[in-house]
Amino acid sequence: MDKQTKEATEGINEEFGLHINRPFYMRSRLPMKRIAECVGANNVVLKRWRNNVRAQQWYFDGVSKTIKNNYWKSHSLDIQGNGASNNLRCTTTNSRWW
Amino acid sequence: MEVSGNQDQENRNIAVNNRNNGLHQQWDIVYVDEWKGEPKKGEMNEEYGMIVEKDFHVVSQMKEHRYLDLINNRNFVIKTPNGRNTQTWYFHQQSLTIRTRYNNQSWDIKSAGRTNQMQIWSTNSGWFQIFRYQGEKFVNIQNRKVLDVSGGKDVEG
Repeated sequence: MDKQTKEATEGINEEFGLHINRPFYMRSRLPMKRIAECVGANNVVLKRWRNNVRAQQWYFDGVSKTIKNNYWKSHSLDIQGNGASNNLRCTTTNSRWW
Repeated sequence: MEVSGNQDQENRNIAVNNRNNGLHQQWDIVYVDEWKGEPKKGEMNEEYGMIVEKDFHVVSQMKEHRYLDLINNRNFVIKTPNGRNTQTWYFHQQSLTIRTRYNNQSWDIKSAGRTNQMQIWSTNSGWFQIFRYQGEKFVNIQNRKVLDVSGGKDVEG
């Protein structure tokens, strides 16, 4: 019987261009170089970098294939309204296209 | 993924939109284990060309080498060195602005950048308050205009 291959837990995922389970900041190239932060497990907003604030840190989850927040680890980047709006949120992981 | 409304402000919403290659749609991924943090007091901010919170004077390179100063404690002029703290400036890392030791307000292009006049104003880190020191000039980060003595006149006040 064929065996299901295990999902990688480290290294780069070439398809998505991100290291798996390695926390990162998403830093805007606008002049202030602010960071994307998940606020209250809901909105994603721009804020100045603060030391050791894990809500500003994200990581690529190789299993769900989503970008998860490093503070709310059950939450992923998500386009609000099941992809029907333009707003970006940080909500419970569901691995849908949005 | 973009900064909503192209506004580089604290707590600004982040959204998705059609790609247009604007700076507000461009992001760097910086892994936490490679993050160097921001320059601390006494350290050089390489991007802005100034040492964090280290006092300096701005000296015109015209013949009399007058110092950048304030008139009415608000507007920019050049004056002979006089020891007042209106002639002393420092780079403030948190706001990325240049502040006066007189009252800690920041360099500011009047009317939110819609004029050519310079003053000090309460810090808000709008683009019209942020300058880099590059090649012996102070250059605004957005409109690229440089600090200039009006009319090139090397006169007091």
